[in-house]
Amino acid sequence: MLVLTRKSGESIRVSDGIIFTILECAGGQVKVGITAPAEVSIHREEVYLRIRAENQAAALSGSAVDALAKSVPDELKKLARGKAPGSKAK
Amino acid sequence: MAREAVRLSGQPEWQRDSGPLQFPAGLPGFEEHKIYVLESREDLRPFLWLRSTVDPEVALPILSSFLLKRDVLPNLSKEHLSLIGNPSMDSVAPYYVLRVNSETNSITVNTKAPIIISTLTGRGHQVILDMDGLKFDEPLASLVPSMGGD
Repeated sequence: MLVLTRKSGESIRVSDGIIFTILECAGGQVKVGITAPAEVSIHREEVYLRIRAENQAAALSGSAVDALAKSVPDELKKLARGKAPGSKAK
Repeated sequence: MAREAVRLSGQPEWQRDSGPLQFPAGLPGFEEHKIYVLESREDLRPFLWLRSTVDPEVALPILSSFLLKRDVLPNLSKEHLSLIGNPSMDSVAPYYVLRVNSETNSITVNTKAPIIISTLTGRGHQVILDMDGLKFDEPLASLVPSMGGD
């Protein structure tokens, strides 16, 4: 792991267009600003890991479509039939 | 959006409900999959499937947040919209990812990380809503207006 020491207001550039800026260091916490292209996904590590796990579990769920079909709530079917595509629920 | 019938091996007929949808950042867990399509099946509506065009086995069940008590749109920021090309709110299709809990055989909803898609450009992104009360695994029954109160 590359380790760099930076002060508040200083930055680290990673490749072209990705910049980490140290905004504030206080109370044992570091506030970091990140500039990156839209195609670069940025998450807190623990949040990313949870979303990844949920997505992978969801994809597995999706293959069990018959089980899911039995789980479609009747209320939801009625609600969907009563609304034009893209309209908002009241 | 154009609707086209497709048949996948060993499965009943699916309807394709969209053209190619671009996810430049992929989805967490499936970063290498950048292009998806929306599909539906008559017996599964209003559930939709966000299916990878690279590997059809990668498909996430999703549901429009418009059908639930917890809508995505009021919680979106300019930063969220910039990820899909800054469309107007009228041109944002918001979805929640669903998961079947195998232990309880019930459906949970990831209200913490919805998927938003620009209906103008077909560009999509899974965003994170940074606010209290949202969960990665909220029971669907608690979000259907006529089932969980409201």
